[in-house]
Amino acid sequence: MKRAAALLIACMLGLAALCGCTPPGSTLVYPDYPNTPADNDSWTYIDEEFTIDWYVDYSWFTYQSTAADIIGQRVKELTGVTINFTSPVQNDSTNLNLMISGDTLPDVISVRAYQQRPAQLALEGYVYPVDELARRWAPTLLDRIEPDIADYYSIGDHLYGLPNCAYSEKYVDKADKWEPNGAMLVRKDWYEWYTSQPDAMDITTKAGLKDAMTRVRAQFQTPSQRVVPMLLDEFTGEGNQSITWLSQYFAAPFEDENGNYVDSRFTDQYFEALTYLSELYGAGLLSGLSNDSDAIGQIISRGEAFVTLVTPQNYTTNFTAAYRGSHNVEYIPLIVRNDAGDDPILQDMTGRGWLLSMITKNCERPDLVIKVFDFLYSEEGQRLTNFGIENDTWRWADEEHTAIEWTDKYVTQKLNGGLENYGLEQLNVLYNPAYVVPLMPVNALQDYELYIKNLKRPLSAFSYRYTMSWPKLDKTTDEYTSVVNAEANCLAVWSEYLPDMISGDTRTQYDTAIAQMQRRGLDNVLAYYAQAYADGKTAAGVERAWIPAAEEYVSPTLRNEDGSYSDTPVGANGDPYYLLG
Amino acid sequence: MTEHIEIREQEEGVQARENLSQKRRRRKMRKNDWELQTMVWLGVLFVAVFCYAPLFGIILAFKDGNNVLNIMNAILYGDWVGWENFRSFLADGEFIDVMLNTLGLNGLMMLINFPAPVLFALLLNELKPVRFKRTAQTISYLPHFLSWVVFGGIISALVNTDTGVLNALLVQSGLVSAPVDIIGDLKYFWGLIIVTSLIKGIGWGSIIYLAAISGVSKDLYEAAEIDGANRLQRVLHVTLPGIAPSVVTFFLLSVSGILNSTVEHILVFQTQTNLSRSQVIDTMVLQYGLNHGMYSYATAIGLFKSVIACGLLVMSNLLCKKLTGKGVY
Repeated sequence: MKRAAALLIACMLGLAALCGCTPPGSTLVYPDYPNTPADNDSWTYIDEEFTIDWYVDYSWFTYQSTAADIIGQRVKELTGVTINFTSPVQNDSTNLNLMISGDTLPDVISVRAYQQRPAQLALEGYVYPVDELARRWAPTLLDRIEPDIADYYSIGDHLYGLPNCAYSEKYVDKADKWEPNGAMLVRKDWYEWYTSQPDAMDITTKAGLKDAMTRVRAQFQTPSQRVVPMLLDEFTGEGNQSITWLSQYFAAPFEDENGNYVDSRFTDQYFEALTYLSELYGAGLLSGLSNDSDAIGQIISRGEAFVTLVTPQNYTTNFTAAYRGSHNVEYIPLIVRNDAGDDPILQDMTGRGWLLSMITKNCERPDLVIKVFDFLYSEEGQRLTNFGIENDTWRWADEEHTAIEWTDKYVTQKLNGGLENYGLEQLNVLYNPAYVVPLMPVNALQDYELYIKNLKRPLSAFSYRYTMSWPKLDKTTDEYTSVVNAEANCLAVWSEYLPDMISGDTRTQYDTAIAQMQRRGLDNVLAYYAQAYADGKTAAGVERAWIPAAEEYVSPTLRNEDGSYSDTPVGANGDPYYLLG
Repeated sequence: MTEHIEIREQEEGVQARENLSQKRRRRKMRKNDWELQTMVWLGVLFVAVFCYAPLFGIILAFKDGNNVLNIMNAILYGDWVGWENFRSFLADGEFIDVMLNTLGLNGLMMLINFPAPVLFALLLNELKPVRFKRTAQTISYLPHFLSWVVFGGIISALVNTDTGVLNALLVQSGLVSAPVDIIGDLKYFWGLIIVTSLIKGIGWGSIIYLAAISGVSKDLYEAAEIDGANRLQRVLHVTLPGIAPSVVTFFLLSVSGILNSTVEHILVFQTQTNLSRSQVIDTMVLQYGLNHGMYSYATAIGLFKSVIACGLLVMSNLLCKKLTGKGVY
């Protein structure tokens, strides 16, 4: 008996050792299919139907399959593909890590572009270089990948994935003003009540805003109407966006006066934002710091928040619910300044990208999948996935094809139902908002949709491109690996201390967090970023990248109807020039 | 002399025959009891696969397997780093907090949550109205059948500062002037875990003790009653000694598991705001291992915990043997 048990255990240990055992440094094998000519769009050469599994490492992605909707069917007609999507329950990368270690990666994965994993997967041979695949089987895709995006995402000599939400210079003019990413919004009726008070303070100052919150709560809080003076976003392992947005209102720079890189978290302006929030917390004016996104959404839906300092696009359904509810609660943007009275310098919507889609070594037909990438990345694919089928749901509004409008059929279905069968704006893993957003038709917009679109647009006067603050890092070096590991460790410390900086003694908690981060290699991280930042500026030929430090910077003034700038400074609620409709 | 030899030969013959018949009986039993054999071997297989085979992974604690993509590659081909991962853990700024949370939280759980089901079982046993007793039992069992995710979700919704009913009631009744952040405030977190654990587990945990109480001879109660013992005395001098072996066994298991936390229980209430009071060894292993991909570091933490738990088990067993004369081995 003992001998048998010992033998069994020995066998199990041996099996465990052999399970999943693959030699290190697996090499990619390219299938032996003929190259595709470059004379036509690559997807037109697909002559078979196939299915691919696509994992999106983000829990908010809920689209499941292209098989069930009209756009999915159209994609299938054009490319032969049916795509089945999966996504995790939580955004903690556990699923992805298990798939990698168990060698069960599906055909395609979309992972967060700013994390270390994409580079690691690329360098260790888990994903195909998309440029190499495109060179063989989708040459037209090579023309579609803009050089600035290819340059930013290339690792060594190759590009291993295609990003969504990357704003290429091809589509974004430097003079264009995009709305900010985060925004402070204020409940309109309560705001108007406060500003109509004879002794109301200037609400764009810290003291004025605090006074407004205190008095609005005293005025409107009843047993049946709760008032949350200021609503913050969720505290997560990646920090808190509300504090980031407030620090941008307080003009926390990412560059010092000498043009060197600084992490905005370690600036006086950021600390000022923290101390202000701590002061509000002490006065009982902040929402609960342990609220999750569901609770935050509920507060917005009920119109209980006076000031919201969240990322509005993450809560559009809640803002809509509040607006369409019985109280018709409307929010408008608000400006607040730091003690020095600086103009807010808000990060606009344009960014380097979010999810990076990669074709894994487990994909049996990378020659076909790269053609699907080509289609989804093309302007034709973007129009199909976002607007639907040409002349069915949309049509060109001019002969130059610079604007589009919804068709009567679309408008009818939108009002009477049926539009949900299309699956519009679902297939967004290769979404290019820089192309789509300016084209988005505004005919047939309902009142509440226009309201949502305009929520933060007046703040565009204060929003700017932050892309220089995210320099390209050389991901092929050993130093990169140690730096990103240290960065992840530092972020864990920072995100743990962040709530304590607000609820406890700000200075003590702030200094303790920095000391702990320094023990985890913060200085190396900052030095690495500083070098990359300097290299980025040199490559771009820029001397000062911090917006107010640029020679052409002027304090925002209201714009006239013709787009010219007046002499009137932008007021507390932004510039109405940027409103749609 | 010859007589002695004959007797000895006879005895040896008897012994040999007995051995032979024993072997035959065993063989026969194996053939006849294949159902039992199957059950036993399935259990052995389960333990071998899920308890012994993973032991192979302990190697990872001594290798450089942090932030690797393929764990097996790290186990087989990773560089040996000796005690480096353990040193990192001990030098980590989180170490003291994590150990304090683990020992403090589990220590309190043992002090409060271990005797609570015993007490509850004793109280239930003393109840005379059968219908009330059964109702109380059923109600107390119910939360056990909810998963921690569901149960935790309900509690979180109830105690939320901005949207929860509990805070609204507390404020409106004037008991508190402002909503209390029961989940986010550090000083309430351990209490939250202990109370929710009690609500969810007290009824179910008392079943084993109720079963033990039912095994105590009725004669003893009658004898005690004749001797003039009141109800409390009967509980103290009859019931408690009667269930002492069960209590000791579960106490020893609890001591060995003092570093084990119910991960899903803590995770469901863990937020960034309470991390410095909610991070325990098990959640740290999960966070570093599966979330951050620091496999070696997480393995080292897990091994550190297992070694201490093993030591605690041996010590508590010795102590129990000395104090009560009873132990698990």
